[in-house]
Amino acid sequence: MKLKMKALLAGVSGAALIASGAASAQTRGVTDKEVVVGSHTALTGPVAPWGVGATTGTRMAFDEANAKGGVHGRKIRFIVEDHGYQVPKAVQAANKLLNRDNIFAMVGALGTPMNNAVLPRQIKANVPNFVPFTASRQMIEPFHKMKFLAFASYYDQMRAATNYFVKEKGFNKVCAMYQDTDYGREISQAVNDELKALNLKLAGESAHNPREKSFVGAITKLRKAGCQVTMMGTIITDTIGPFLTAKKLGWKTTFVGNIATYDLIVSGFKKGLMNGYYAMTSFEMIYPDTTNPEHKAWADAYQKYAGKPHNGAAQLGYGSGILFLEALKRAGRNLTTDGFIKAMESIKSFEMTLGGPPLTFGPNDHQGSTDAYLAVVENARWKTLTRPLSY
Amino acid sequence: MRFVFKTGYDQDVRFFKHAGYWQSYGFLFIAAVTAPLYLGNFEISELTQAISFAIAGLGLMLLVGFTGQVSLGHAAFFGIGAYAQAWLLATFDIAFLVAMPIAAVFTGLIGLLLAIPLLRMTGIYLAIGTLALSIVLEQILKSWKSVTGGFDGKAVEPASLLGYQFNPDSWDFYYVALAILILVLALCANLLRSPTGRAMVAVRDSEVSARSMGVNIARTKITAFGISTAITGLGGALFAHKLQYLAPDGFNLIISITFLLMIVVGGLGSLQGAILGALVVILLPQAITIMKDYLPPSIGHQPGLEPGIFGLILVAFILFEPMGIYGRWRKIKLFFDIFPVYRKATFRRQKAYLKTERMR
Repeated sequence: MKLKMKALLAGVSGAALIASGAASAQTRGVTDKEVVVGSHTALTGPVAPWGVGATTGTRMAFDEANAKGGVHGRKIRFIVEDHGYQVPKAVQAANKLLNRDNIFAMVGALGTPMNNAVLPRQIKANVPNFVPFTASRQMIEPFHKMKFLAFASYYDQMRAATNYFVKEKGFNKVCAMYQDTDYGREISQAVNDELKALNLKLAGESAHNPREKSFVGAITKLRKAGCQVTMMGTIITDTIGPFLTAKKLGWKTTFVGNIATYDLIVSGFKKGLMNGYYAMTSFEMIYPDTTNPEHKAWADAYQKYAGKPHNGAAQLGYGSGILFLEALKRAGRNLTTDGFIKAMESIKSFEMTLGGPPLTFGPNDHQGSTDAYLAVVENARWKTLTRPLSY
Repeated sequence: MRFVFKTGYDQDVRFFKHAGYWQSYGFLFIAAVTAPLYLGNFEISELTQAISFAIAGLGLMLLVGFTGQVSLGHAAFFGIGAYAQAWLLATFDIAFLVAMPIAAVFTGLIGLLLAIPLLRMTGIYLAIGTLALSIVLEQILKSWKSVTGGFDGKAVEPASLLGYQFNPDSWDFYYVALAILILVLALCANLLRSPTGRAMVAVRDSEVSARSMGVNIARTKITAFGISTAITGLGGALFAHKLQYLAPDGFNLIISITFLLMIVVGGLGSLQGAILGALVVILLPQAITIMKDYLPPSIGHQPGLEPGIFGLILVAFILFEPMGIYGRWRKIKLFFDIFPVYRKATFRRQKAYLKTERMR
């Protein structure tokens, strides 16, 4: 009887040992042959061109790696869920990715409110938020080891822009025009903070509803304030609208936006109407007729892969795929979430996107770069003007 | 075929008419209660969301399916309930189970106030009036920043009770939702066998006949609207905890139409229909998404695939089964009940006397 009891105890403790061993070796979304990666993004709805471009670019990077046998013998399975830029759908999509597909990491999740809605449960599930497709400051602040951002935030970009236009162009009447949202207010905050640092005051401002269509009132107000340069916290339609309204009213002034307006729709609008519009950006747009052979090769490869020409989002999406692969490579065969984060933190001076700044991460620095360039629309195309700006 | 032998008048108002009901609903109850044992967190979380939609659907069903008043504005009341819940929890130190009925009653009061002008209209005009409600509320949610957080949305405090924090994606919160659903179901079923409920059905079938029987039409309609919006508000309050983050786009016209679609697909004029409809509206898109993962990449990675297939299935459904899922279920049941003598014409609409009223 005693012997039996002992054998039973040994068996139980043995089983417990095996169970605990298995638990530590098992990382979510990682098997011997596969790493499962997810993304919630907008494949339909108002910002579909960004979501489709970004996920196609990322998928292209992963497919290239998979064709070569994957990373450390593991292929990457990329599951993309559509939320149509709606918060409830994003939460539903995240439920599938986190609880059913059991993803290892979230790559390129699109939209500030969608990310804000999903982040708490994602962090609780120990899933890194890898380079979301929004440059909002909230994606990196407050610091959390699960949050990674590649480029300058909107805040960084607009502070650098304000600094440049005041110091180098000698403007002292700076205004702000922004959407009355978190996004827009972040830009207004950046402009105000930088002006304060330069001992200046905001000359005038105008806040509008994101679906606003008429900008005559706003432009008249800014014109009366005598703005030499207006910093824009806008996206697409509310960038084109005010710019053209000012032109129509015969007001010669300067508008400066950020990466959210660095888009082919803005530059190409009616073939040249947007000439003279400035935007801050973290990378350089590649055009199909580029003379740089490396860029040309990539653009052709994308055309072949996706069956249509790339856009800026595709460039960024491809870049975040490359960065993710690099981190997986560094994390080694024994892949864990903590190991992945350590690997990310070890990346220094890595060029992720063609025409983008080098990225450097560190233990308490999960933002790859705060550099941003200034670009202007010339002949309906973006042209980069400056070396990286900062403040 | 089964014959129910009636020995008393209250047999007519019983929830369960005979032992068969006890068996089938008993099995359903056991299946629902034991669901966390055989379903994963993903499925449980989706079920919780379906339950919050089902509660809202029950509210709308009382109005559309039983009182005959159409509403294209119920997402507004869903939203009022959700934001009221979030605001109550953020402002006062009360338990979420206490805040929920307050949010529901508050929504119901607003519904009552709005019903007084709205329900003077009928038919298509009522649809337009309630449609406006949906649009107006979306604007209010966007503009009233101090309460709703505007475009940026508002985080909802996690549901917790006596120090225990519920996980909205897990089994514990599922039980909370399930309990509320059963409570609301009992309430609705009870209402429908009371004089108020009978008056509602009478108003639906013929206002002229109802009035001639002594039913106060205006009061009945307004009561129905109030109760309906209160229940929808309760669904919204539950949804707020499920979502944990509210944004105005969660309560727009599309959601109003989704609700209406939900009760039509489920089966107008039955409480079961509201629940079946919610299951379809929430689970079908996810099922399509999952199926997409198994398709070849050239098809599966096509953007816009899910809404397309979802729309097709719904159109087919409304074309081929206008009485909804519950209507189809009743037909199947009757087919087996009276096996060799089933006639298609049994379910044909027979209200020829209503022709004049249908014009309104």
